[in-house]
Amino acid sequence: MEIVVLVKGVPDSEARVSPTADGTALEVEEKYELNYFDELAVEEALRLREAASGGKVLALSYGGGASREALKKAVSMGADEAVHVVGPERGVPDGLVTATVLAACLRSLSYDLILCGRRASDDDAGVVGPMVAELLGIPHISSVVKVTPSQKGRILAVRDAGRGAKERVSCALPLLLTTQKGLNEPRVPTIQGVMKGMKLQPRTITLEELGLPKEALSGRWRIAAFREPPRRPPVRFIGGKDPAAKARELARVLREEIRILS
Amino acid sequence: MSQDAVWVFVECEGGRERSVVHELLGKGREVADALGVELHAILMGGESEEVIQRLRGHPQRILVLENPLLQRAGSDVVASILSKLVHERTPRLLLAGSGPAAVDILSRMAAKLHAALLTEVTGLEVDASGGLRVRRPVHGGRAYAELEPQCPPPYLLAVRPRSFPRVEPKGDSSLERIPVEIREEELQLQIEERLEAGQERVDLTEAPVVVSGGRGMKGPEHFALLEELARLLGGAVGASRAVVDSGWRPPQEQVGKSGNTVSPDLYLAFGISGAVHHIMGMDTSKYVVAVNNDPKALIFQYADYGVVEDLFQLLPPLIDELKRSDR
Amino acid sequence: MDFQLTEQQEFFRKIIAETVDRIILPRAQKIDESDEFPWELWREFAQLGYMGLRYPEEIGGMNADKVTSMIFYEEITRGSVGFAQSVIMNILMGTHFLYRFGSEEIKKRCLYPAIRGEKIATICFTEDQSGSDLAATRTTATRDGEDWILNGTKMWITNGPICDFATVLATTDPSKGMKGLNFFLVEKGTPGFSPGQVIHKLGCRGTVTGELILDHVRVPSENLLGEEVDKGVVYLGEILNEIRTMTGAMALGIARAAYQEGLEYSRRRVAFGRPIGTYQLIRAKIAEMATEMEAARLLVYYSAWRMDQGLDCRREAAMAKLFATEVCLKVVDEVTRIYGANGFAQEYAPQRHFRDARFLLYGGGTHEILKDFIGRQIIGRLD
Repeated sequence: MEIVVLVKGVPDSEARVSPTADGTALEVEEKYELNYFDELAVEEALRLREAASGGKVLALSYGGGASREALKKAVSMGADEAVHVVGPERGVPDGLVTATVLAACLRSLSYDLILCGRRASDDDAGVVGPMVAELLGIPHISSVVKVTPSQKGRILAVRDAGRGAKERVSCALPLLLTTQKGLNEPRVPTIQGVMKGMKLQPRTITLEELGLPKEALSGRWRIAAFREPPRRPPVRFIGGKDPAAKARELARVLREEIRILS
Repeated sequence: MSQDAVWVFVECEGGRERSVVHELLGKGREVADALGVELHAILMGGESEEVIQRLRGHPQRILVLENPLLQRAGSDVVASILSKLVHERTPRLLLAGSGPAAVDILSRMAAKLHAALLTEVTGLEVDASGGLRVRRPVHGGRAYAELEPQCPPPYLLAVRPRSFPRVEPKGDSSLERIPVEIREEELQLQIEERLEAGQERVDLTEAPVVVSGGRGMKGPEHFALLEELARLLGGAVGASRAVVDSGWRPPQEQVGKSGNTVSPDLYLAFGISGAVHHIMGMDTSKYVVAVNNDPKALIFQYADYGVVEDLFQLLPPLIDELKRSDR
Repeated sequence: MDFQLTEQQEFFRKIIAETVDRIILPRAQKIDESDEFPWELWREFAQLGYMGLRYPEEIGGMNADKVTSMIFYEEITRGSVGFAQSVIMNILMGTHFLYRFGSEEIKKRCLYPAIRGEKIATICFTEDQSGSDLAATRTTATRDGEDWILNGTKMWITNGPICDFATVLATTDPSKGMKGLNFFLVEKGTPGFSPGQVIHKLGCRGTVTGELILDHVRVPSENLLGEEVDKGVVYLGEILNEIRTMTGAMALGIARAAYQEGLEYSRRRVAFGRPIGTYQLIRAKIAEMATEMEAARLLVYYSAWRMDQGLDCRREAAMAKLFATEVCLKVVDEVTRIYGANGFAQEYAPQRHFRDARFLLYGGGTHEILKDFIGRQIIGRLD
């Protein structure tokens, strides 16, 4: 089976993120890592390759230096090949641009299965996977927590249907899957893998080579401003003459103010 | 004006519309009024008439797509049907509740229609000239972005639940039933089985409510109280490191730096002192309620609501109260 | 002048840091509390192949340059000092002489399994009456036909009680002082070779440290690790700088672990209605720690860089160890102060860093010895 994993480099979880004073830009510390859900995707691809004792895992990324980092990590985990579509350091805030570029590149690659994280931790959008599937005209299953190749060219998957519900879904290849937490525990690279990652020179493809029209690369949204997140107001203590009264008031707060049972 | 209308996508789960739908109808009405256009609700047929009854009032029109195969259709088929309809009727704005199914459908629609899409939206404003400004968190809530479209409509927005208040409907709506065509061979995805939440434990990091206990729980046997509370609130049970280290609860329930990071809508902390490593695992929760008998407990500095009380005195009446409202 | 790590070194740092965060750091507190050798972690970590860090790829290693090696030592120590000590012993001191001088048989029996983490290595310098003063070594090796007979007791041996083989420093001629020193391989199971008392330590818990007793231990001549008798001191000189720089890197690792805790606490802990990080005296602590750690880092990596360039680094290595350790001792102290009373509580990490840092004062030479050495190097021989 030939598997392509779409990966993204994102600021690591400890990188400082803060809007500039005038709100026109976001200052993000330049420390990148492979997006967590994409790491699950790489791991699952490797497991599928190992289970089938054959096949190829290719990691594909679109972006600047962060993409390169993501690809190196994927290769250090065990991906066979890496392709880097070279894009700007800061992309436009529109997942459709990314999906268009990735789909254009995928048309020149061969694949049975495409895997990617269900969302990236920087813009939390969760749109690129299904968009790529749509652009390629293939089905997709999102938020998978279990993947089993079944008889002839079909995949059986369990997907997280939200709110604790799960669905067992089957579909024919070619297919795109997006990965959800719980799918697997990603491996830690071995020193041999680290050396491969260190030496990696990914195959690079430029946007010109993909021959995409200019309008395909301009975002549909413009950032008007970045804002600080709201701060938690000081604690409000819930009083009452006895525990029962406090319990009543707390239940009211849960229902009416936090609206948790609505 | 049915052209340029604001549409709200009515997503149903288990025969009932998601509660976010009513929030979207309220906001949708406000936006439609500001733009001087109609509000339409659009839903997949096969849902009960009761759903339609509950929608009546806010939208001028309720569009019901009809085909028995819709119940089994994947996001690709639904996206294709909705895209066709959007293409024909040119709504200006389509609102849906953020969630796995809606995001799948909207993403495919955006790709098909080359349309502007944003997900996880938490704010939406219309200025005097009809321009949209959309707010959404980025980088896990460490900042918020405000965006404006720079392309023609339609604009597709997936809105986070609880971003807008629920508004009770008034007035009446017309109903339009639209038969749609689906060929059996279009259904590529086969749903073999659906396992409802009740059969599976709720994943801690995904749970909308987390009920956590610390050393103040005094022993593993008392966690039954938290389990019952979690069940009533549709949440999961979490634990502090001290509790896990004592072997009272399994490690996968640990919340904190060396355990899980959770950001539920509601985090309830019982008998947790508020050590830094714990705070790091739950500080992004939307609401934090802390119960501790020590008014100086650190946890209160990270809470929205605090109750200074012996938790064993508070929990039983609280559970009773919530059972009453859970009817 | 180029102060940048190469792209490859930078990537290595990131991966090893992630690995430490994922599999070592979460167990650090437990390792300290139980003070038991973490066998499970050892096996899990060994599979990743880092024990071959310094050795050629053909024998399962990475052939890492010294800068890369220091990155590794710094990061793993940041995770858990107790665990790092055992691992570094296998990577560096415990296997170096086997790699340099061991016969193919010895390598197959001891070195390669140690690189795979299947065998645990150690080196034995210290005795009851000799630490920095190696000339006072009393363990003897005497010829008996083709064999050597070893007698003596070694103290403070990292991995000692659990080792599968040891490189033992012994004198073949006490009258020659330093010049009579030699290294011998002694394997577990050799008659007369036995572990003595385990030492319960203030810090670095999890590493098993103790005595090793050599009572008429007979080893064949190939176990003399070195091409010539009485060259031990020369061979030791070859890795002394690496050991000292490594100890500096470990100091950085402990300092960073503590500093990170202090930094996070200063942002979160509220006193008098605002985070303590808004108070100038706390900011001053953070600023001083960050500045001094940066200076220590430059010195440690400068020393490693000189090693990679083939330049003399005796002075730099001693300075790096000395300075990084002093900075580390200050940082661990300051962090317990930032933590207030919590810095005194076992539940939190700062007290562990505070205890762990103390070992740096002895490993790789006491500071009195190091200062004397550096001073002598600078002033030159006056007598």
